[in-house]
Amino acid sequence: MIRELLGVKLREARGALRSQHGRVRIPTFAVLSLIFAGLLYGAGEFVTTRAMEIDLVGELLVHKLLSITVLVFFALLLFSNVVSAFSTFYLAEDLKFLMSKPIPTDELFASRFVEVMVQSSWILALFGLPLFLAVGVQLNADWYFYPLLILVLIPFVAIPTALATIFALLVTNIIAANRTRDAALFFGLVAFTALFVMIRSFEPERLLNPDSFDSIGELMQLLTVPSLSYLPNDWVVNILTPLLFELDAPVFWSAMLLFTTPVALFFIAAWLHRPLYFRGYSNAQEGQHQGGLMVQVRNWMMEKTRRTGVKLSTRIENLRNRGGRGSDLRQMVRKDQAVFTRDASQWSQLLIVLAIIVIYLVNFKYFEVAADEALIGDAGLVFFNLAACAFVVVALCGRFLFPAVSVEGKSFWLVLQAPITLERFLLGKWLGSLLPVVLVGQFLIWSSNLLVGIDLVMSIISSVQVLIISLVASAMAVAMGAMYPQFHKPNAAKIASSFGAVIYMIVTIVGTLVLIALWFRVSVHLGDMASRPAGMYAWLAAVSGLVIAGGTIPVVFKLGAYFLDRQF
Amino acid sequence: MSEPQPISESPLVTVSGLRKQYGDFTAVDGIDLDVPPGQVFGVLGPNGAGKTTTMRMITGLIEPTSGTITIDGFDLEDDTVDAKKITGFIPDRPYVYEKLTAFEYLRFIGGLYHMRRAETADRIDELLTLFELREFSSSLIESFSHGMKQRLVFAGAMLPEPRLLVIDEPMVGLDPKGHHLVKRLFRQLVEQQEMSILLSTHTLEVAEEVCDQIVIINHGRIVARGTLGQLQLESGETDGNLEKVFLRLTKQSEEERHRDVARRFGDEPGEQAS
Repeated sequence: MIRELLGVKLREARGALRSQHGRVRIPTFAVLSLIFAGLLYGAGEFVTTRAMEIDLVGELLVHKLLSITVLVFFALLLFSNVVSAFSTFYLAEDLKFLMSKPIPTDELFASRFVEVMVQSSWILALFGLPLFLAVGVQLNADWYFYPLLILVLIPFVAIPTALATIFALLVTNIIAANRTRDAALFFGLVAFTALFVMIRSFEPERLLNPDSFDSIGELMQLLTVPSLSYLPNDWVVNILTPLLFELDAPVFWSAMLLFTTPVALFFIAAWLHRPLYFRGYSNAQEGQHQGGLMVQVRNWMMEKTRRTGVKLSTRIENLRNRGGRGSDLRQMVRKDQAVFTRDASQWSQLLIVLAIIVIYLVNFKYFEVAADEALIGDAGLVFFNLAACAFVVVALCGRFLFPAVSVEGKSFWLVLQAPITLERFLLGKWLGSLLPVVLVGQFLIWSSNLLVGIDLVMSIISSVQVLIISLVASAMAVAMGAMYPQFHKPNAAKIASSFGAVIYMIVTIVGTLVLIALWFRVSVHLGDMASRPAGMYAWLAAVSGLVIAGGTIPVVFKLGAYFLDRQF
Repeated sequence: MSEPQPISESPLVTVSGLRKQYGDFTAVDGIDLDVPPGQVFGVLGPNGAGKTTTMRMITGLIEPTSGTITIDGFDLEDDTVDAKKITGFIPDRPYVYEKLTAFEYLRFIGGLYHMRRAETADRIDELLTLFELREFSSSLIESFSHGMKQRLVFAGAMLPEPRLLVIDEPMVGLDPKGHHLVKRLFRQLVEQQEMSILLSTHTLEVAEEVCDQIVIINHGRIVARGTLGQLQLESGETDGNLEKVFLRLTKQSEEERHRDVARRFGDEPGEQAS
């Protein structure tokens, strides 16, 4: 049965390869991934070579960097497994079909477990393997390092899968009154905390200025990761380092823990699955539950936004008395706002926005040190802040605006058959999302500039630039979301991490950096930070930046509408 | 089947040479249609005949590979917005914005069609009553049953009082009371408001009861057209009901069936054999 359950997934994948979309997209994606993996291999090679060139501490540095890398991958695997466990065990479309079939519980569990593991572990295969291989090659590791590496990574990815599965089983039962989405909110909080703690503990800004370290010892101190013998990342490093550095260190305990833990966790998960799964699955299917703080908040919000207290006759009367004609743009904006605020699954994502803002501001304070030490200079600091702020805006647009067209889902027929053009539809999507994007961008640039004491003129110039970038990035996100629509995917977070979204991120980040570069000379001149006045070419560059930005918006809408139209 | 209306005016919908190709597969193969104003026009056909594709092309949801569609003189390709202004569409599955309330959904439709607010208000009032959705006007659509959603989609399509109503499988999800309501409504709309209704259906009883004219599509082509009487004559089932006529006109030989499978899924004899 497990073979059938997994086999159907493989056959589905083969079918996707044969489909019209798959024939183009999958090879493209594979080539891009290989290029990326190649670049990672190159980066791994470069860092290892440079580190080994440092006398005395080279090996130790490589060891530390390896530990950090494995720890980061463990954290990534944990997070992606949790998300994957929820969608595979509770929200997958095919469950409605499978649950009605006489499939033994344990076999369903085992097949789903493998699916979660494969789904969430490709990240390690694609991004981790090239790095580890590069280290092995650079340190002239013996041939058996490579098969052992694969052997070690298999239990390393199975542990987070088992932990995530157990977590999902418990959450859907213990917090039974809450919907699965509320659990997603919880994960948002956990991710926020983990991300924040990790970034702060590395203090990456100090690496910008190596002179700030009093000694190599302090540099090493910075690179110290929590070394706990009960963390699987530590077991992996303990097994790999003797092979890399030809040490004679004991690896027995680490190897035993690494190989037995996933097996034990798998059986615990399977054991818990028997009594807990169905209740959790049933809960996940239900639309409404009573109790639970988040549920109450959501219900309250819905009551407020749909104005249940007002009688239908009064609402009809109010509408009649308003006079004039209804506006398609206004109605589209209102519809999008209502759909967004009533969808609890979006709220956890808002917490991530909050997390990004807080991390940005907290970390930014440290760059002031770099500016003081004349490492990047005041103008450099302004430029850096602008670029970082633009990056956050682009990323937020990618998360919230790129899926805007796709989340219309199967309801998109309503728009297609209505008497509005697709350009106008995209315009409506854009207008509806502009205010929050502009507000976040402005909040970031003003607060970060105030934190480090950038003067008012320069702050205003930066603010205008971020405003223009916000307008362009949001238009790009909406329009490119229309070029790569995924109406069949119900989950906005998945759409935001799709192939099209990656293309959007790359294109828009490069585009905004070009804009900032074109405006740089003139803005430092206007802000009285330049050593010499801006020449004709600098002004020409700035004006062309404005023209490019202004021209991009209508052009991407036309392109977006054109490609969207071609889908049907 | 009701008495056909005299065709004196020019057709409201004119479809000529309509084709839709998906790779090597031709879903719709040169369809010509004239839908007169003030009539219920039925499109019948077996599964996979090309009915839904045709309906979706007429409502602008799918772009034809070739051919033209004009609605009240507006070319659907060149004057898309004008053509859509006078068209309402009801799909077979009622996918609507689940997080809106019924009232908000109807107001949204009013906005899309640039209707006067006073008119929108009056129509919402009227249609919520007609489709028995008044007491659910503030409820989120996600809490509606399939049939309630279908009734809401009917209300939405009728809100702007379109001259043409295109309906794909009108009876899916409706209970017997809904069936009765919809059938009566079709005749009323046609007779009292001169609306034209183009509907595709599998429910032959509906076609028999409400359609003025019928076309039967098979393999993407029209194989018969006319009133029930004309179809009976054409099929040789002069004393039969529409079901008999339909079965006779769409009957496939074993050889035709194999050809059809090969046309749709490619020439894989091993897999066709079953």
